[in-house]
Amino acid sequence: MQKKKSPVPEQTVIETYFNMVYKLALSQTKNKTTADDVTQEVFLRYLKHSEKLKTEEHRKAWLIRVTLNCSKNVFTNAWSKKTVPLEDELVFEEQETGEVYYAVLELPSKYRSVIHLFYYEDMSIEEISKVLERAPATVKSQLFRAREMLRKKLEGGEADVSGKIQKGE
Amino acid sequence: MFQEKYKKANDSIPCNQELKNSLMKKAEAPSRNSLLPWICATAAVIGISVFSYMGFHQESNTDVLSSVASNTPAVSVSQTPKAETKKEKQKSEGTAGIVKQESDRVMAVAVAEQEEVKTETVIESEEPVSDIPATASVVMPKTVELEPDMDYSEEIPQPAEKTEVPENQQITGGGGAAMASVGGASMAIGASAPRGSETEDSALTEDADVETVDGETQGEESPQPTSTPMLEPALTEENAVSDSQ
Repeated sequence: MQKKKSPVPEQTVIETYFNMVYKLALSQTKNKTTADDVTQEVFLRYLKHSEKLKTEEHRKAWLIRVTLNCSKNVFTNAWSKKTVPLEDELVFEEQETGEVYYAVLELPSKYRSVIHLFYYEDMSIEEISKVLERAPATVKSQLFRAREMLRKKLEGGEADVSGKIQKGE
Repeated sequence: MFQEKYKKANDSIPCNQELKNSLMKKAEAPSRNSLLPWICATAAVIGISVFSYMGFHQESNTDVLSSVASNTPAVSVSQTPKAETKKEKQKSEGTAGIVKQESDRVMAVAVAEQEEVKTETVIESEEPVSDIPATASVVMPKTVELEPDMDYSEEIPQPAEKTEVPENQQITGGGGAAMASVGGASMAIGASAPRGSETEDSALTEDADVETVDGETQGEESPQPTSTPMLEPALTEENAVSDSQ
């Protein structure tokens, strides 16, 4: 991964990582409006602490970590406990893609983050372990368990998932 | 397959462009921390300008009030130069007076110094006279008066004859003779009472010298040769009295 020196314009950072943050927040919150709130909170924090982030790798890891923490806080704070999120259904053009996506959303949160970072962000197990501050073996076991869960849910997709894991390793 | 389907599913989900645009505008807008120095600078400039304007306004009001109090047209511009000229005149006069006073002081000091020098010179000139016994200054005119009448060459040995008289009788008798005979001179002696002891001491020393030397070394060892004129008139007067008797 390329290491760029700061300062990087904040607009370029938002332009580059807005999609990543939003999709990760959506995979964690399962709600668009809540994902919007989380994304807004993440970038507002970034505007305050942008000077501390020196490298591009550090910046990406910081954004992922803050997104996961904000997504957790949405469900733990008192305000979210007293409110009910709006029901919004994600509409996909292809049915298969929709099934895969909803199968991932049905996984526990710790497996969803690993699956999302591994399959969507194309991050290795070591990178995921650094971002999530977990041991690589833990990330590997979580990824294996998540794959087994998806295999049960998605009939006929086991070979593709195992093959991708082997590439990553 | 799974990865492609999962990526397609995520890519098909649209992002909130309004939120993205708002965040972009938020990033473009300068933060409060960057605006804080400008805010402080502008506030300081405004404050300084307001205070300066208030000070100028107060000065103009005081000028108008002073002009009104002096029953003159309230034209501060025409009043201030006059006041300034008056002040300048007063200052010049004051400086001139001060210069004059200083010059007078200098002159007075110089005169006083000269007077002091004169008095010192006078005192210095008088000091030798004061060293001389008071009787001599008083008795000297008598000797001058008696010079044409008396013959000193014959009467000089007479004190040597009185050396035989006892000391007490000689001191008292000599002094009493001087007091009685001179009269006016006794007043002078009385006036110089504090020095009477000195005169008596000098008389004693002279008498002692006379006793020891018996008139031979009188002129050499006598510390004050002026004592001879004091004794001489007394002797001459005694002689004169005796002659008159």
